[in-house]
Amino acid sequence: MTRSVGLLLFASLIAAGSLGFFVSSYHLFQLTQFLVYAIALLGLNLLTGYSGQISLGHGAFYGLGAYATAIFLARGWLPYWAAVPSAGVVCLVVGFAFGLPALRLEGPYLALATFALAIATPQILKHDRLESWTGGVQGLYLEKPSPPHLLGEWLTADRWLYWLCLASVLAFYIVGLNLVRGRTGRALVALRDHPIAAAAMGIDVARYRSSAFAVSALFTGVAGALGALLTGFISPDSFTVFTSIDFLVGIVVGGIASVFGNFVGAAFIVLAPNLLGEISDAAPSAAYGLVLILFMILFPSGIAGAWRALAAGRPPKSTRSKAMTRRTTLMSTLIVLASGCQKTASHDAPGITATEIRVGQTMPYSGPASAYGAIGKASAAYFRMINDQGGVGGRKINLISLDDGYSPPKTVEQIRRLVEKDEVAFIFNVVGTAPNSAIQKYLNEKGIPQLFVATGADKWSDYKNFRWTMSWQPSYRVEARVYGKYINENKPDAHICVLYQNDDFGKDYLLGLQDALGPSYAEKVRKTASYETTDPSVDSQVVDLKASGCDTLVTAATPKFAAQAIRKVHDIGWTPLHFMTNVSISIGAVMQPAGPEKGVGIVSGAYLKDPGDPAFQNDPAVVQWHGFMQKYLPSADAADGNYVYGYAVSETLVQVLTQCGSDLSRENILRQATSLRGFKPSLALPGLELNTSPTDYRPFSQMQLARFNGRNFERFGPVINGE
Amino acid sequence: MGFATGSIYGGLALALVLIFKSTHHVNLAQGELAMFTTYVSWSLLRAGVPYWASFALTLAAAFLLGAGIHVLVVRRVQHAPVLTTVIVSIGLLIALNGLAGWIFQYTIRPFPSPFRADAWYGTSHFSSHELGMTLVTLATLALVYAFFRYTRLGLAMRATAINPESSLLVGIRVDDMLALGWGLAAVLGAVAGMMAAPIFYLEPNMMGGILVYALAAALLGGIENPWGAPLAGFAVGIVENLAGAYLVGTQIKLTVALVIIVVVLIFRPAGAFGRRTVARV
Repeated sequence: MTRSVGLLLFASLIAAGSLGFFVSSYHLFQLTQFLVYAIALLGLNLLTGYSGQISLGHGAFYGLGAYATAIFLARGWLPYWAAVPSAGVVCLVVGFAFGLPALRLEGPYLALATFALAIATPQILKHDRLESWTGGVQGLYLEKPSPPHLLGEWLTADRWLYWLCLASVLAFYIVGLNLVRGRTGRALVALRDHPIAAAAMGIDVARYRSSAFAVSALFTGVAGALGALLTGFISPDSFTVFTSIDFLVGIVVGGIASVFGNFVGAAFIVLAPNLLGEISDAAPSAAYGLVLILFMILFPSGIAGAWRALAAGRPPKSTRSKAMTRRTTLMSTLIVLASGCQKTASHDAPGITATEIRVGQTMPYSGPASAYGAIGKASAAYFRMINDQGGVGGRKINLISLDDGYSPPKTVEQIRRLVEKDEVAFIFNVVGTAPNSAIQKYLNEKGIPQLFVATGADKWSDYKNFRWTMSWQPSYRVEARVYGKYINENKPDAHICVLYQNDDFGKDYLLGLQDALGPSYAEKVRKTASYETTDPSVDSQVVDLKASGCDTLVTAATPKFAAQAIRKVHDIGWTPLHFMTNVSISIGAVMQPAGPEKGVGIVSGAYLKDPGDPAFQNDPAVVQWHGFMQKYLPSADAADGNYVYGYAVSETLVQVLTQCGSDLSRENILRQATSLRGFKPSLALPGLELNTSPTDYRPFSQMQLARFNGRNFERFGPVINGE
Repeated sequence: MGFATGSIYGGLALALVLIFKSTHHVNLAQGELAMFTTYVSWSLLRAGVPYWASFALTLAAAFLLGAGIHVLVVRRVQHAPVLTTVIVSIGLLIALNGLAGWIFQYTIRPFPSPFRADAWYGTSHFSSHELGMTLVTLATLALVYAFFRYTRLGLAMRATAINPESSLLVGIRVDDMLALGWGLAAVLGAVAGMMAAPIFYLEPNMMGGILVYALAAALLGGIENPWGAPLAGFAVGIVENLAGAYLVGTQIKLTVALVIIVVVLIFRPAGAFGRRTVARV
């Protein structure tokens, strides 16, 4: 019995190992990701499943392992094969340190403590004091381990990492199995189910429980380390509470207190979002939530629980259903999940056929940033409109827009799929600094244009090192420099306060002000206050800023918080010279909810026309945009500025494609994107135009200051060229 | 300011405690449920229904939604392992959030306050809405207390929470009591949501951060103790603001607030006002 099992295991190992040579790099990425999660879930299952200590914070250990490895590598202290185990040891120690006080907590209280850990981790990672270690909001890059010269070119870095992860899974699962099937496992289960009796029998509660925490942290930490090497880029907001929740979902779906259930759970975490994105692109989050609920109703003990019950010949514990239906449901679920792995027939040209241009994109259609999914919807609708009018050069634009939930590992996976399975010509308008950072190297190495990234971070104009990557909108840092310059020229003795979102977007405004104010920054900028997107309100920050006695305020906030700030500033009777990021000056989405009379005097560097602005009511481009919205996006909220942005950037892309003529090679697409001369998007403010060249990768570097007068933004002064 | 947001944390915390008391499960979807019912109210207001009428209708809708979710979903996983219910509530959280975003879109919506901005009781430190909101929270707390203490139904619910088997034997319809508990909790959540929306602006992610603080408050006050929740809510609100303003700055104020709560829990593991239950082997 054991020998045949052993042989089977050996055979499947060989099969798994050689699999690395037969699948595309996209599927290899998915497989490696699956292995990484399998280790992470085993860790969590040891703690929550076997030891009964609920952890809603394992994402923190995952992140800690990732960051430890990244720091060891970045500082050159250790090579990767030592960095990963060392990261594990770090997590072991931290896990033990956390496990000790956690001994006092039970059930929901422990869940809260671990939840606190999950929430605290990104905040701590972003903190200014640790920035030189962690890279702050900009994150850290990791080099993939270079493979040994074993099989020559056949052993690529991707395949080598896959093998390493396979070996790690083997090692961890052997250890894990030994733990749970031996004395330790029995002790843990006893502690979980009957802690008092167990203690009375002589089981050292403190030792076992805190060790469980430590070992669990070690496992998940190493998984985090491997995951970081896989993605190649980490940032604090890659490890939010959602990561922890994903892990918890994984172990419950797979089966609590099951060793092999973790593989099912890992597969679920990797594949379910993709599948759901295909089923419902309108509301993938809602679909995912419903699937989770259905899954739990059907399989309350997870897949492993259902399997065990079936193997034992009785129906699993649940409400009235027959065993046959159970088995078929189980099998079909697994098949459906596995079908996400199927390959399609390959095409000839990279993304271009006689009739279509395939454009790839990822967008946060689910998750915390799903509000920005509207940009993707706007682009899709715009290209539909262009196609209805005949397309570009006789070809239809086929935008394949996938959900990445604003999570860099997911972005990497989806972009690989777009490039290798869907064979798109280029990547267009991906949202977010972290997601774009994660795919930048891959796309540049493969010579695939990464056009018009949907973020205003300044780093996307690096034509020397990343010639295939280009931004579109004015950079936040440049915008802040414009404000700083204005302050220097018009209010030289200003006392400045800054309210900013605690991420790369908000912090870029601080950098821009530093650029413009130079050495006088320290004395001019009296106080800064940040907020997290999970904060309910910024009212208290505004009150604090006023108390520091500033007469100038720069706000780098997204629409909801901007509206709160505008309203609060007015309500507490503060009248500073108020600069607002051009991300949040939509009249419909920000100024009106705040109360138009409360925003009088706000200054911003606008670059797009606002359809809610009465001054543009009869502007032909705005009228056309309204018609477009009514025809192609009738149920969308026209007050949402994302629909203007999406329209304008898509229009720019169509210009580039038109300029390409009949040569739609990637090289020429890039060449045309870097040859925009005096292009005026129809929704750009009058007087502004896009210009690019092979050494100028900033299409939109102009803006014009405008002041809100209670009805609209009145432009004043010259068109400014930010540099 | 901390006091005012504290009353919202307290209100939602009360809803969490209510569900925990009756079902021994934490409902992580409480915040999203509150947000969703607030959108219901917003839709009614937009259709022209006057404020207090839509308030009442929303409470009724919230009750039906909460009880309905219990009957349709939660009841089916009642006898499952604890974590299964946790995942179900997470699924509800994600589903409600996604649904709200899909149906109502993501642009922020101003929401009216029933307390006029220029009312006589408003001051520069506490706006009329903030004061009114605090009063509403306290009134709700009093009503909930009275319900549990003085009504037969409340007694039956308490019995169900303490000992479901014995309650069944005595003739209490346990399942109905549980559904009632969910319904009432949803009502409390709706009140919290409608009080919060005028300050925070209504949008699908409005309650996310509030849930974190409410959870902290519920546990700090002792998850079984309805009095503890609102008090702890106020404490959390104040600590959060003070930490941000005076202690460590805004960058890690959330962390600090939570750390303080965890430290308190370590010293008083059943919450500041909770009672240690004695368990037998």
